[in-house]
Amino acid sequence: MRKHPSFFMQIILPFIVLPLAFYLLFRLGPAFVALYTSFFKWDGVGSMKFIGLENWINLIVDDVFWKAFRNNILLAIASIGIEIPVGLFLAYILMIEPIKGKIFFRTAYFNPMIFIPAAIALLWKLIYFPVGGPLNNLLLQLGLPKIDWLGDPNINVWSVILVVVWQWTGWYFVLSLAGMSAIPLEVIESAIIDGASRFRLLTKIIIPLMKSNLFLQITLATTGSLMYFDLFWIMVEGGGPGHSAEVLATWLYKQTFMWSKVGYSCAMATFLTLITFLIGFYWIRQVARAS
Amino acid sequence: MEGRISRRKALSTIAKVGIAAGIGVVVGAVGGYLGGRVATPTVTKTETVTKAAATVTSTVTSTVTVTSPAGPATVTIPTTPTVAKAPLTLWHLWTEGSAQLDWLMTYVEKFNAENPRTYIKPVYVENEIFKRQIVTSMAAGNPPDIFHNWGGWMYLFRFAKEGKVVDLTPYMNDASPYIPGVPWKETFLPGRMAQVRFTDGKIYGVPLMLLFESIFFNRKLFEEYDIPMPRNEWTWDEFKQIIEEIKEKTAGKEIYPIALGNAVAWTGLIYYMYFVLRLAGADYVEKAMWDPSLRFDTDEFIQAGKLCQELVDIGAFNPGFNGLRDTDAAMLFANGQAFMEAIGTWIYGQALSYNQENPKYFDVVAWPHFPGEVDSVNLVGGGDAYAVAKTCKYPDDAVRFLQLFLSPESQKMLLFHCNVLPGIKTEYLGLTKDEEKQLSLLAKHEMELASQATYICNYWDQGLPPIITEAVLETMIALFGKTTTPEAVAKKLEDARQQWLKEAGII
Repeated sequence: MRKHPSFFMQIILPFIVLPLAFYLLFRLGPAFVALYTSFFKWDGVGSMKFIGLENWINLIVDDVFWKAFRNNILLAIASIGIEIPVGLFLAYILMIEPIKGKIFFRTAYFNPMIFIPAAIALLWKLIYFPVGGPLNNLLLQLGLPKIDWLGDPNINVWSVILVVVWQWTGWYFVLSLAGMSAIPLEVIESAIIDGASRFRLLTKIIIPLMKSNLFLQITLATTGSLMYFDLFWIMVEGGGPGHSAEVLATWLYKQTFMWSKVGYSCAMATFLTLITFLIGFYWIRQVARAS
Repeated sequence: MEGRISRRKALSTIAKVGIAAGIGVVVGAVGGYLGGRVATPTVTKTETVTKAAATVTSTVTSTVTVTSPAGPATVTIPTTPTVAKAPLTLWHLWTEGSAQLDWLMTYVEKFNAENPRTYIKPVYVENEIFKRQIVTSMAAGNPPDIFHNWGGWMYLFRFAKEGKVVDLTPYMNDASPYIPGVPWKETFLPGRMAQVRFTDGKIYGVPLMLLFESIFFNRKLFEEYDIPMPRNEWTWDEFKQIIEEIKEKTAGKEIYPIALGNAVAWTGLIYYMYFVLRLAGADYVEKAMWDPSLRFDTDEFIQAGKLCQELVDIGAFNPGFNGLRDTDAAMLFANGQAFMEAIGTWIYGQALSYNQENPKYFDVVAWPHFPGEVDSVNLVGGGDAYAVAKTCKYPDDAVRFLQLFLSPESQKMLLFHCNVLPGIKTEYLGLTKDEEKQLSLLAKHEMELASQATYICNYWDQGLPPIITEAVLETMIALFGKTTTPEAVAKKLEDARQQWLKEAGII
């Protein structure tokens, strides 16, 4: 009788060992190479010079780094504080209210997500355009002063965050919708029959039942915000006056590819990886607990 | 039972397919790698195959077995007479549809048709991607054979210092076949030649053209609003007076004296560099990079920063300039929403993509005279150059292509087809009377300004080491946004220079 291939050959090798090998080779490997490089001074072309912890000390005293980190935190707060609640609320209305054309609304809310960020950035740059841009014209007609949306160091980070929120709310809307449709209809029906108000239905039934879904959304929002790059790069390329709208990823990119401080940027990348990992790890554990 | 077996069968099939695909990818990658590495020796072999078989059939496929340290690999190479030529990769930054690409392709095709051994393979690389790709490819040891650069430290000398660029001095000392009788190096504009000559005296690049920065203005707008036009030999006060007059006559309209898009920082740098060049002099600027006895935080540098902020204070620029790009400013200028723009000679071609009418009225003028200036004619500028990487197997062929590209005929095409000033001296261009008549007013005025300059200061964001470039660009947005002082800017530049001198082992 022909011998069956072993469990190892059938399951472990193709589904565990190979993906793990790829993961180690292309994900974890480079991360450790980055950690190693962070102890060297290197411009990417010449020879590497060991400088110990100098890159890490520079990182701690780098104002721009902390400014960028602060902007990432602002973005994370905006994501968790605006995108997720608004997405949840929209999904809730669409689920319980007998609205006509639900498919239209669903598509409309999700729509910003399917555009490439570069196109969105250019579109919003036109809306914000300081000379004859539609938004400033609107302000002018309302008798309000013009605003330098992307050039003013006090507001440009908020101008970009607004667009990020506009784009990503649809994503959390879809996640919430998926979470809600997993709740058994009987539970909701019986709550309605018992006379629960819309608010109580949402806070006492829906939210507790989709806790793990919401934790997952928060995980995605925080880690995504920490690594965010696209719109900040295209809309406020130079980071704005005094790096007012710099984020970690744009600062990292500039240090690496414009100023060739490869060692320094490796230290920054390692730091970013660690922070993202810790936050991700914490929230993923919450997800696991909730479910 | 049936179900179990079929599921198991399915799983094992998936597993086999997965493993096979994985192995396939790895083998393919290794094969591709080996194939790529051993291409050159096989080319000579296949050439002989082709020649021997030429009488029988024009296309032959031969299988060559090559042994490498990693083990034997079989590489199949289809050989036709055209494939037998070795490619010389050339990285350029010219987009599809641009006049410059027409120019390049015309001479690439000419070279490829005439040259029996090699052919030029142009590869387009986007400007920003180029800046990191060239660094990584140099580090990895597989740069293109001929690569774009702008002269200066950032993309040429630091590779030359590592021995990664071919020293072109021997070729430069001989005459080019297209301009006999003089050493090739003598045919270039001296200001441009200086930008590809490293401190060791060797020449590492071939300047293709001259781009320089000055003040451009729209004649039609000045006529329409009856404002005296800028003229050479004007003074700083006249310049400011014109700005005031424009503001008065365009009050309430969305038309501004000067277009500026400073989000990219190098646009504000144009002002700062010119002010420094005028106040401190070409000689000082040239030497300050390498001479520890000079400084960047002198009164001249501080004064330059003050002049920049003075322009901001009198409202010379369009609003929101720190959030706009150079392209946005070009659009404002092209659409007649700004009277002037301090920008490079490429503005004419760039403006045409926004507006077909207005650029016809563009003209150029020298920078105004400043109180206390020590230099009044030299320019800030540069332009594209090509260099040959050390890894290139046929440097002679690469140079022969560059000589063709720098021939008078080719440079005339650059002037008339692309509206860009040539990299060689006008006297070697051999313009006929008819051709001289064809030159636009703008081109004539540009050539006039260029002919007066004895020194062309390379853009600081390309010519200087990264550490200083960073400081320069970092400070410009803040300077124009008035979130920093001219003194702080000068100090930051000097700090960066000190750090560079230390790193370079000069102090």
